Amino acid sequence: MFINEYREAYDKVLPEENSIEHIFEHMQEEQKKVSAVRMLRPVLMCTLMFSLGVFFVTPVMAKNIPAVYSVLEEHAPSLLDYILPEEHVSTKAGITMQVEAVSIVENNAEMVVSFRDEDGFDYINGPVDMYDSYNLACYGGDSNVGGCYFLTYDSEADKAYFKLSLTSLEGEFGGTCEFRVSQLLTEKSVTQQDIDVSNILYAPKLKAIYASGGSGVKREVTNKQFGEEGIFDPRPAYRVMDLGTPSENLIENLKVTGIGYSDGVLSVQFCRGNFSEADRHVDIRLLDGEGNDRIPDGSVGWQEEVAGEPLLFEEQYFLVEEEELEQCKLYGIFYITEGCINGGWKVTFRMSGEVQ
Amino acid sequence: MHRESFCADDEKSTIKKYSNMVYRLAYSLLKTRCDADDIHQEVFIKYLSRRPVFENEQHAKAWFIRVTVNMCKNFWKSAWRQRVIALEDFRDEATQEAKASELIETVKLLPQKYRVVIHLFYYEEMNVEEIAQILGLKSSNVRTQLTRARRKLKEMLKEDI
Repeated sequence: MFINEYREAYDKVLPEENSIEHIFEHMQEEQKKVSAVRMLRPVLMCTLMFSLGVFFVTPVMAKNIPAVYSVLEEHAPSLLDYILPEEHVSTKAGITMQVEAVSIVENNAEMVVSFRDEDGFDYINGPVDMYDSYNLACYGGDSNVGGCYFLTYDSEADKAYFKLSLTSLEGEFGGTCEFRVSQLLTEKSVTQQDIDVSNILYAPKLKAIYASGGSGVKREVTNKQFGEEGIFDPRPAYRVMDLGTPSENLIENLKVTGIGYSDGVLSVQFCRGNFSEADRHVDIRLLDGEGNDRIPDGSVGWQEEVAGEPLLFEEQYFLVEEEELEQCKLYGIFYITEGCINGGWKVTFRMSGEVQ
Repeated sequence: MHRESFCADDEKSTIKKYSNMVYRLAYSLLKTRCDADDIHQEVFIKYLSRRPVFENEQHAKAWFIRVTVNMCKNFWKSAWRQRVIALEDFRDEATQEAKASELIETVKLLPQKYRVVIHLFYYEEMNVEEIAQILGLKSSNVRTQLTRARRKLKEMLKEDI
C-alpha cells in the first residue's frame, strides 16, 4: 500500500539529534543579547535624553543667558556657530535683506545692510524706511546701544542701504547680533512745508484722551476717572485740543488739523491717518523771532477711531511767550511712506573685538 | 546567580513533540535536508519568540503546520537564500539523499502544492476539510489537488494509490 510505504519512508526522515539543542542554544544567545540591551537601555535612554536636552536647550540658553553664551563662545566657538549660525542674507516677500559690511573700531561697530528686489518684484525704487519696525539684539552683550538709519538709495544697483550703529558700553564686543526688520516702507516722500499760523485758536476747548505716547511738555490729567466698569485705566491721560469730530478725509492723509495757544503753550495738532498700512509722520519746527530753529518742547500721541479705522493723532508743543507769537513761523518736514511690505527679515552676524 | 529559563518545560516538550512533524513537512516541501534543517530551526525560534497559547493539541498542530508551510513558501523568495552549497556539504547531502527511499524521490517530482496535500493526507492522516482549513483553501480545491497528485503518482509508480 502506498500509504504504508510513504509513512515508512518518512518515518526515517528525522532531524539531527542535537537540532533541538541547537535551537535552545540559539535562544539562550539571543536572550543574553536581549538582557544586555535591557541593562543598557536606562543608560542609553539617559544618554539620549541628555543629548536631546543639549541639542534643544543649549541654543535657547545661549540665546537668552549671556553667561551661557560667553562660556560657549570661549570654549566651543564652533558649537556656537552651529546653534547660532551667521545668516547674512534673508529673503522674504520678494525683498532680500543682506549684510554688506561690518566694521568694528574700538567699542563702536557699524554695519551696513541693503534691501533689493527679487526677480519679478518692484518695491525698491528710492528711499525706503523701516521706521520703528526693526530690532537690534545682541546675544552675549547686554550693554550695547545702537540705532539704525537710512543711508542711501543706489539707483544703479537698485539697492537701499541702511546703517546700523552699535556702541558697547563695556568696552568690548562679543557675541552675535541679530537684526530683525518686520516691515519695510516704500514709496517714501519727504517734503518741507510752511504751516499757516493765521488761524490760531486762542484758549481752545480741551478734551481728555488716553495717550499711546508722550514726552516733555504736555497737559496731564491728574483726576483720571474710572472706566464704565469701575476699572482704573493705567494708560496716561492728557488734555489735547478738542477740534470736533475728525473727518473721514483724514484716513489716508497727513494733515495739520489745528493750531492753538493758551497759557504760554503753542499747540500744533495733526492727524497721521490709518497707520496700519502706511507711515506718515511730521517733524514740526518753529522759527522764533531771533532766528532760532526750535524743535518741540513736548508731544502727545493718541488714537481715535474714525469710520471704523484707527487713526493716529499727535500734538506737539512749543513754549512761547504771547508777545513773541507774532514773530514766530512754523514749518513741518512731512514724511509719507505709502507702501508697506510685511517681511520679517532677519540677519545675524558675529561681533568680535576689544578696545585697543 | 539564578537566571530565569528562556524556555519553560512545557515549551520544551511541545518542541520535542512537533519537531519530527515540522522537519518531515519541511523536507517534503523543500526536498533537501539542509533546507529542512533551516526551516525546522526557524519554526521553533518563531514559536519561542511569540510563545502562542494553544487551546488544544489540534490547535498546536495546526499552528506548526501552517507556519511551516508559510516559511517553506517564502523560502525561495529571499534572495539571500539563494546560497551556494560548499562542495563537501554537497557530497554529504548527496550521500544522505541517496539513502532516501525511491518513493520519496518520486513524490519529490510532484509540484509543491501537490506534495503538501499528499504529505498531510497520507502521513499526518488529516482529512480534506482539515487540510483545507490549515492551508486556507476550499475543500473542493484540496480534493482536486489530491486527485491530480494521486493520478500523477499512479503514472509514475505504476501502481494504485
